[in-house]
Amino acid sequence: MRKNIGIKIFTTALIVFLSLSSVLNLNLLVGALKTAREDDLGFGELVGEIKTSYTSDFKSKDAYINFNGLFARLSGRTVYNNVALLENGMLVNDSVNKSDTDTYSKNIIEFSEYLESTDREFLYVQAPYKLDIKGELTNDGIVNYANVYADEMVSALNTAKVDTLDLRPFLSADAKTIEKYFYNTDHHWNTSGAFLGYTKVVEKIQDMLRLESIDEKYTSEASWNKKTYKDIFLGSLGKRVGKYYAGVDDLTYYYPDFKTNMSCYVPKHSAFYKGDFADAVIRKNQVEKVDYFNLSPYSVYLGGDYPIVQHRNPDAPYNLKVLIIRESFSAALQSFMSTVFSEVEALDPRHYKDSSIAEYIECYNPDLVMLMVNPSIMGASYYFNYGIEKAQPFNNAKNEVSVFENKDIEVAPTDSAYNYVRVTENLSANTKYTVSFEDIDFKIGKGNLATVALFNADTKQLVSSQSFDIDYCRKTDSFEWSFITPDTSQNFCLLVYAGAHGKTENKHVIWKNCSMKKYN
Amino acid sequence: MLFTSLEFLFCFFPITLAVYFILPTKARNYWLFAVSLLFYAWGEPIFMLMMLVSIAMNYVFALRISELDKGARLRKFMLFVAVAANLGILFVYKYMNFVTGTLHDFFPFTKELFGQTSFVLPIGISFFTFQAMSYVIDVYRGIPVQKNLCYLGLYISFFPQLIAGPIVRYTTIAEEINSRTITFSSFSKGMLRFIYGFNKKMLLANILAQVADHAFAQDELSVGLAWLGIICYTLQIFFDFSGYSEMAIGLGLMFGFKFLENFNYPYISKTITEFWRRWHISLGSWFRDYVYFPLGGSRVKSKLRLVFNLFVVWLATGIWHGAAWNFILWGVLYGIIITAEKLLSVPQFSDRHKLFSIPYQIFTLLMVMFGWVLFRAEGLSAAVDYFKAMFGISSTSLWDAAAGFYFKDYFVILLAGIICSTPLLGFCKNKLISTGKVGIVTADIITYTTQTILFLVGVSYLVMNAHNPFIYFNF
Repeated sequence: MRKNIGIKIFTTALIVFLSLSSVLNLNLLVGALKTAREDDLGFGELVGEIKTSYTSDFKSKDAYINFNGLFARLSGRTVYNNVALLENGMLVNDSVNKSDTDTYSKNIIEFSEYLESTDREFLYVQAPYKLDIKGELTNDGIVNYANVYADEMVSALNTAKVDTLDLRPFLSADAKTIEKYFYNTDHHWNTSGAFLGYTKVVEKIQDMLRLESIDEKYTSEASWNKKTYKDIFLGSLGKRVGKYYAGVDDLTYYYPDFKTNMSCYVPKHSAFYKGDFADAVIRKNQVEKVDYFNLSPYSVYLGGDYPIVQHRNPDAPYNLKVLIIRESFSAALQSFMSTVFSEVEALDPRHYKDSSIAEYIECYNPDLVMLMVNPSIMGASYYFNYGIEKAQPFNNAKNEVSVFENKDIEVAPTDSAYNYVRVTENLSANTKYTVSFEDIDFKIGKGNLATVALFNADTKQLVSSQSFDIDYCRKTDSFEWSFITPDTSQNFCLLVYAGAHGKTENKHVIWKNCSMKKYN
Repeated sequence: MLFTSLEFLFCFFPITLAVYFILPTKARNYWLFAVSLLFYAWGEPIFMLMMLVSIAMNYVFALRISELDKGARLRKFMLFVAVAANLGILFVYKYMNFVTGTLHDFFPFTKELFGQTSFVLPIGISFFTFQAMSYVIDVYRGIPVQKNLCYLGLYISFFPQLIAGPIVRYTTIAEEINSRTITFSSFSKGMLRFIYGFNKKMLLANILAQVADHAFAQDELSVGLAWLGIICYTLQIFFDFSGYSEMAIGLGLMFGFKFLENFNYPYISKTITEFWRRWHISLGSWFRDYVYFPLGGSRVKSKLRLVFNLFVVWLATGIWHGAAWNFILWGVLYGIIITAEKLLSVPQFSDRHKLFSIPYQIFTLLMVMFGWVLFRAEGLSAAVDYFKAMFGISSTSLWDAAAGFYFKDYFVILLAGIICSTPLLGFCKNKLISTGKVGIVTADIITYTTQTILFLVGVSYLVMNAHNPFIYFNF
């Protein structure tokens, strides 16, 4: 009897485990059946639906991932689930996608020449990588070409005399430096690394544009406060292997110890943040609690990656418009840069699809365009295609034609959140327009944001829009927006809102002294 | 559907089991038949129709054969038709394109006459076709026929062994189909077997596969990596296949069916002959009982006839495994070695001479590994290239960084795999118990706790969405 008790306990425990897990996950089967009925799926599709549900939504998935990583670590695996564990305990990608650096560098050179022809500056910033090796190998036999691709790119651009800043010597020259400036479990640099990167970028831009020097508070760590959260961050690489494989990271964010007054607008979500630096760019919801798999504390700056982010700072020492063609390494860096440049806009080619990059530049008209790419994503072609041929005609169109001039546009109040006035109709297709204002007067209600938009009256869809930080625009006299109409014969109209799009209820607004031009 | 999938472990299996034990005894076979069809349809619904055709066809054949007098010519003819029909289905789905492709290569004019089919290979067709055929042949040989179509359907399509064996003889479970008892003890044993098999598949086969896949994917590799790759594949295929068989046996036990063992530590075999008594036992015994013995077996007058009989069996074994020349060559090579062992009485000589048996045992293992190169490589040409790399003919070096990395990173699993492919663990456990160093209960607690933890690790791999189909699904 005693002999068999072990196997009976074992069996009972397994039955309990299987039963509990099955019951807890029964909703996945029910959900799949429901979806199959609603969408009239065939048997094969239902099978696919069930499989997908169980693999993506299985209960306690995070615990299993952690457990799995622990087993991998205990069994001596140093490369696991596409993540390599270095000797210093840091995690890195085991490989990166192949990069066509020959083609991409040629595209960048062409792009920089195009910008130069349009009186704009260009800077290529080579973001650093978590490996200091200049060759191919990481952990014996694992080949990671990231630095090789970065070397090829920097070399090609230097040969072509494109302004280039390689951050790798400052941030990833050796293992000790990497340990200081990178997260253990994430592929990104930490805030300290981002800050050093920011100071080097500012130095480079100062040098390029021969800018006067500014108060050292902007680039001195001593003038910035730090807030640290311990053991809060399981990075992108750590999420693949669990928290027991290489531990978790602390997260520190910086914010200035000096007074700031700025704004940050994310058009995709119509989200407007205004106040000091922390109000504008710090998203504390990412660090308010510990949730290793569902939160990303790295996104404490800006909250994530968006197609466009618009920073405005009327008190910035440099009255310059900087456009960053960015990836996720830019999150903290662009936020820091917004303290020294009056306008910083960041365009993320992974997410921005409204037009080509060159067309966006044509409309936004930055003084400097900065492209920053980290070596692990140099295989991604969308960072290296700019659509110059699409923008060229608009750049060549110098003949200004007035559509209307010096008129006040009144938007009477309604209770709609999207209250607007149609200013013009039947705009020409595939044409660049610029609309400008002197000011916005709130007769009833208040607001710190006001929207103009290009609207397709045939499809009833917004094509593009601009929301002005009223305070900033008043201080810098920059109520101006350029846009390009799509190349289709439809009824495109300019809309002017009673304040911010989605927040116009009961507001009475006059847009003062408006003018609109088109360019042939 | 895979046993090693979340939807099987936490949806299909618990529901099947729960309903099975709730239903009255009479209804249980019907339930198992229904869920087995669902299990098979999970991969591709059209396959289920083919399965039903096979069941119906063999039901009719067996019934007809059983009604005819023994010795009647029609009876023999019906058997011939039954075997031809089963092999015909197998040929059409599995071998037709290979044959037409070969004819096209050797006789280009045939391209004008016939093309290739677009039939998809139904999963496990070789297994259930042989299983169904064995039933009809056994009815011909005198076993009572199964008159209940659903019961026969259950035998042919029973989901634990449907798609990767073991090939179960009808006589093994005939009694259990009609009446079986399940005790908590037998259920527990079934669960333990299932967990053993699951752990082998998830934690040994799937992980070692990463090394093998890497080695076989290289155009150039060092001698060290080539050998490491084939050692890992040797272990992978064993744990993959034996793991699946153990899961099948375990599941069978949980429903009250006792399947025979399909593997018995094949890599400790002293001769190739012994290897095939320990590897995929159900297939070896099938060919023995339905091909070798009917041809006369070893009890034939001339050595030439013996050689012929063995050649037929091993050619058929190679063909069964796949419609490609490397499988045929694999089977034929085994046939040559086994024939030589038989003619030269190697097993008997090896038993009597220790000095010979140890080197020959090493030779046996090496031959098995070389056979796996043929099995794994993508065609004959790739197999030849791999052999060249193993023997330094076309390798980049003796040892390189990649070989060093894979050896280091997978060392623990590799060592575990080597140990688990032998009876060493069981031997040590029994020795500790018999010498009183560890009590039975303690030993069992350690065993069950370890297996449970490993099971949870295996589940964690499923959650991580590792791609893990079984190798023998292709047969």
